[in-house]
Amino acid sequence: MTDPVISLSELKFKWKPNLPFTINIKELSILKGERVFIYGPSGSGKTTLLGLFGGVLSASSGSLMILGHELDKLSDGERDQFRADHIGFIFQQFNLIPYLNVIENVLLPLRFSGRKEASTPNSLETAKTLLSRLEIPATHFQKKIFELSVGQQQRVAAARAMIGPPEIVIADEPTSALDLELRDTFVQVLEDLVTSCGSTLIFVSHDHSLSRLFDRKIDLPLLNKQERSIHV
Amino acid sequence: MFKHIFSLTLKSMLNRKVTTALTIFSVACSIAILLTVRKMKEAARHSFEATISDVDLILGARSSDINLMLYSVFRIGNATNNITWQSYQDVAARPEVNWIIPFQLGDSHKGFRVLGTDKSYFQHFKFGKGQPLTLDSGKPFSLIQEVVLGSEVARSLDYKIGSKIFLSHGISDTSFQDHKEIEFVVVGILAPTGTPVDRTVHTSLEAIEAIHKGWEEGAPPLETTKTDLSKAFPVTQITSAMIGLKQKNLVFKLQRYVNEYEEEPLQGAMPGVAFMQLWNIVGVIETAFTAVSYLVLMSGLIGMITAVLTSLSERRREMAILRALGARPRHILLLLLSETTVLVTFSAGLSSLFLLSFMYLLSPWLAQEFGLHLALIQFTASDALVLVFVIASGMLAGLIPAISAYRNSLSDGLTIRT
Repeated sequence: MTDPVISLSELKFKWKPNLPFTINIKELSILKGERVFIYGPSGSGKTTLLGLFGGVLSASSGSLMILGHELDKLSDGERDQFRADHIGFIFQQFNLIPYLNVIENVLLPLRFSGRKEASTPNSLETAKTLLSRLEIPATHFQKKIFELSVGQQQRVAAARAMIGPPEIVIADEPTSALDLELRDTFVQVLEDLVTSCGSTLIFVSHDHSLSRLFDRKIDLPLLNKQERSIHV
Repeated sequence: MFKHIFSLTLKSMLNRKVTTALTIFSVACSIAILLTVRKMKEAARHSFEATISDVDLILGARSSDINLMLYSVFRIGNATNNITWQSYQDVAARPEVNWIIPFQLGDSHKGFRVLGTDKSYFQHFKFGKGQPLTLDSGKPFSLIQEVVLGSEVARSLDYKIGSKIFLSHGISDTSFQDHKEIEFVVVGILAPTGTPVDRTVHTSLEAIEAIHKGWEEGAPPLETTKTDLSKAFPVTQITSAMIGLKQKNLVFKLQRYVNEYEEEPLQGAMPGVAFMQLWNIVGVIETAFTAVSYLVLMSGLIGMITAVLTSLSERRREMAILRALGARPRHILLLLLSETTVLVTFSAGLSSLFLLSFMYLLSPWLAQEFGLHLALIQFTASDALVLVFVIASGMLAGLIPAISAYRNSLSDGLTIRT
């Protein structure tokens, strides 16, 4: 369990040439199977960092290796494909496509990834199993998204992120819309699922209180040496 | 992949049923207007050219082709002059002539034109695609005081076989100078033709001569006495004549004979040429209608684009989710393009339905009031071509929201903005 899943060095990113660096990280590596908590208040560059991990943004300089691929060496299309094949995302809220039902939402990543589709031969059964493990009752599988509670929606989003399953799961503030008592359970269930699938979890939040649930904590403001200059 | 994107498109559109339906409806309306204008145009031209058939030359006093055509075929306006019976017989005797129908116009009955003619009219006059006249009831006139009515005359004045009528002098709708000397009786009613024949009262040339006895000064005789119908009323003049030739290619020969006729100035007009000249004049209006209908189509498509663009701002989050799941920007482009394509295709289908029901519901009325026979007009390959053009323009217009969504998805990335 020592292969780095993500390793970066001297990673720098700025939105425009005349703006200061939003990301300026000397070194970071995340190992396979790790469950990492990245603490990032707003303005700490967390969204930008996830954009880089997801391959939607490309670094201004430095190197970013994910699963042995130098992301900057891939074309835009290849990075999109890479994201589709190897990464699962969970966002803050309104994660789901409103016009698809629960099952359709969970199966959606398979449409964009040949790898995920190939590794999920019995896709409908897999989706149902994932949903059940996340405690979504079978009666809800065909329901419209708006008929679900926010907590249920986040669990459906988690099931969708886990189908495939991807090597890396990135959760961006997935609990911020949840009630306090639901947060711990959600994180617990997510961690169990990620571990049983052998994936790596990167969990980003501004809520310090959650850090106790993770093996490894990273304080983004400490790691990321942003240039403190005049904010336009 | 396209299959999946397309299924997403359909589900997303179904999720916005009301907006989608309204958009389709409004675009369909604008396409239907375009199609209807085209059909009316076709029908107008069709019925215009179907007023007479198989006529090779129209004979009349010298004026212009269009004038000759207007009064003798469409019963619009007046003849500048009549021609003598002698000239008519000279032309009729030409070897090129297969048949000839004399026309005597100038009187009316309650706003309907009276046409003096002879038996050859019932034999040789053809309309549409060479259809002969048929009688709905009764028989052709044989005695002087007998008339045969066009279907519209009989219907609107509620005349039956045996009805008694007077003819009026001149062609004004409110002519009070009736030819009281002869009481006419309806002996036949023609089947509808959708041509000016329907609005015509037919009688013999002799009858026209008879009612004008004593009117030579242009005013009624001082004393109205019943005309003695046992006398002979030799035909002295006619207004025009329709000529059918033994061989079509003889038309120039006969036309030269007519135009160079020395006894009096005559004119021979070829219907095809005169129709074309006339249509060129009417064509301006036609072009204006077409232009307006294309403008309506354009505004329909702009409405559609506006609707899609509006929905786009609400769907930015959805696009970002799809991007996070691995959708490429070109998938987003395809998603939007397939939406406008579906919209405009459904609209085109619906508009054809509108057109068909419009034709079905309105064709009896149009045929009756304007002689426009829509039913004769089918959905043609050129209509299909228009629909293809409309769909293609819709798809092209769909590039606007699609490119906008594409750009958004590039700049938004995975960041979901509320």
